[in-house]
Parts: sequence; structure tokens; C-alpha cells
Amino acid sequence: MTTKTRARVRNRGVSSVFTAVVIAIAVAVGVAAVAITWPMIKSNFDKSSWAGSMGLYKIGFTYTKSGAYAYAQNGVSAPLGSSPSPVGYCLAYQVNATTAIYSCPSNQPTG
Amino acid sequence: MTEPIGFIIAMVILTTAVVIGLYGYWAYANHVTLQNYLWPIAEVVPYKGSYYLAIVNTGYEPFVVKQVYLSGGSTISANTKPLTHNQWWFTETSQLPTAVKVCSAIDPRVCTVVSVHGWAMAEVGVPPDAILVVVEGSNTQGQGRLLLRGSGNCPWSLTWYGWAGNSISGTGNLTFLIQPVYGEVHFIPTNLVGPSEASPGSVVIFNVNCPSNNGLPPWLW
Repeated sequence: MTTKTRARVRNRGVSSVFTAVVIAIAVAVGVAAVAITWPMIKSNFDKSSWAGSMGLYKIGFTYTKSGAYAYAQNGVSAPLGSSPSPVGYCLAYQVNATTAIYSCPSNQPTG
Repeated sequence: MTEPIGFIIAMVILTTAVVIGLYGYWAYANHVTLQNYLWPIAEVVPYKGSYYLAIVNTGYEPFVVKQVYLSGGSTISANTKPLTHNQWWFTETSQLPTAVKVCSAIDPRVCTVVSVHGWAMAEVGVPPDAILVVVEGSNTQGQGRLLLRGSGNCPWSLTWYGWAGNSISGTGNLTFLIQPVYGEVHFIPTNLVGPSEASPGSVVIFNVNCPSNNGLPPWLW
């Protein structure tokens, strides 16, 4: 085998190893990218779902034998006071016998 | 001899570039993910001439309230304790708050700005099988001004009959339900001014009419 031929064979070996390493790195990068990206994608979905549920969050008011009550979602209720206090994720208080003022996540923004 | 060295150098450069790139992407993804899980809700209602602002953490990532943006363009700096799930923070402002900036308690560089939800008025509903009776010392229908001096000491009583019957007496404000009731109820008020009858699901308002005022013009009360 001449020196030229030996060099050609060695070159071929090196480029095979190079290709194998590049492929291995590419696969590792792909796996890592998916592993990193997935929580971010999931967090986007979770945030959209949360924003949707908050956009529908409402409150109602009614009298009972024990006084005026505020009813928020998920079975949350509390007596209406004369100063603002939380009821579920809303803020509410009674201004007179028949009127309440409230702010809920479904209300329009002030700004 | 030079080829293996060149190969090793190329591998080191490639691996370093990949690691740096992945780290940068990981840091960015972490930032976005954490920001997406900051779930503050800010609400405001008018109260006693100012604005009552409340912020609640509806998520599970703790955060601190950093700044409140007001309608006049100014801001209020705040540095609250970390709010965990369902914890509230309240403050009062003289100007209308429009937005709030909160930052993660885990990584303070991760922040988000949210709008403040405004307020609305709602009627406190009366059950369909009840009548809400409101006895007031203050005016609600434009005629109470004539009625009220000394009403706190003015004894009144109210008797009702019809679908339901009973009576109640007092000396000041009172709100109560007549329940259950499925037809008209008639009233016999003493020292009260109000309607003579009511239907289920309605609100009736009585104003205290103190007898000591009888016969005297309002400017002499």
C-alpha cells in the first residue's frame, strides 16, 4: 500500500467518525430541544386556559334569611359587608340595601 | 498527525457552540415558562372617596407586587411579601389604578404587567318566594329628608297580613325578608311611610316617620 493510499484510508476513517459524532450531537440537541420546549408550550396552553376561565368568572348577589350574600363560582359564597372584601376571586361590598359594587376577573380593565 | 488534532478541535468547538446555544434556549424557555405561570388578578372598586385595589395570586407560583400604575401616569412602588396561592394584597390609592407589575418570588427578573379590572354595580336579588323589607332612616326615594331627624330613637312597627302574617318593631334601620310568600302581602305601618302592599320577589322600602317632627317644618327640626 502506497503512502497516498494509506492517507486516503485514514481520511475516510476520520470523516466517518466526524459524521457519527455530528449525528449524535444533532440527535442529542433534538431531544434536549423537545425536553426544553415542551414545558414552555404546556405553560402557554395552561395560561390560555386560565385566562379563559378568568374571563368567565362572575358573581351574583341575593338575600337570604341571614342577610345579603355574594355567590362566586365553585360554590364560594360570603356575606356581603359594608367594606370591600374578597368573595372567591372577586371583590365586593354592599352600598345600600339593594345595591352591591363588585369587581371580578371578567370585568373590563380600567386602563 | 494534524488531522486528528483538527478533528478534536472541530468537535470541541461544535460541542461548545451547541452547549452554549442549548443553555441560552433553556434560560429563555425557563423565563417564558415561569412568566406564563404568574397568574395575578388585580381588581379595583371605589370606596370612601378613594380606590380600593386588591391583588390575588390565583396561581401556584409565588410573586411579589412591585409597582402600581395610576391613571395620571404616576406609579406607586411596592415590595410586598411573596403572595402564594389565593393570598391577597390590598391598598388604597387616590388615583385610579390601571395596571400592576408583579415579579416572581423565585426569580425576581421574571415579571409581568397585568391590567386592573374595573367595577360594576349589581342589584342584590330577592328570592322569588320572598319580599325584602327595608326600613331606613335615610332617604332613598326623595322623600326621606322630611322624615328623619331623631329616627334612631323613633319607635316604629310593621304588621303584615295576606299570604304571610307577622309583625316586627324597632327604632332604627332594619332589613329583613318575609319568606316564604307566594301571594300579595299587605302592610300596616306605624311611624313608617311606605307602600301598603307588595308582591313576592319585590323590595319594599319604608322610611321612618318620627312623630316628634309632626307639624313642624323641616327647618325647625
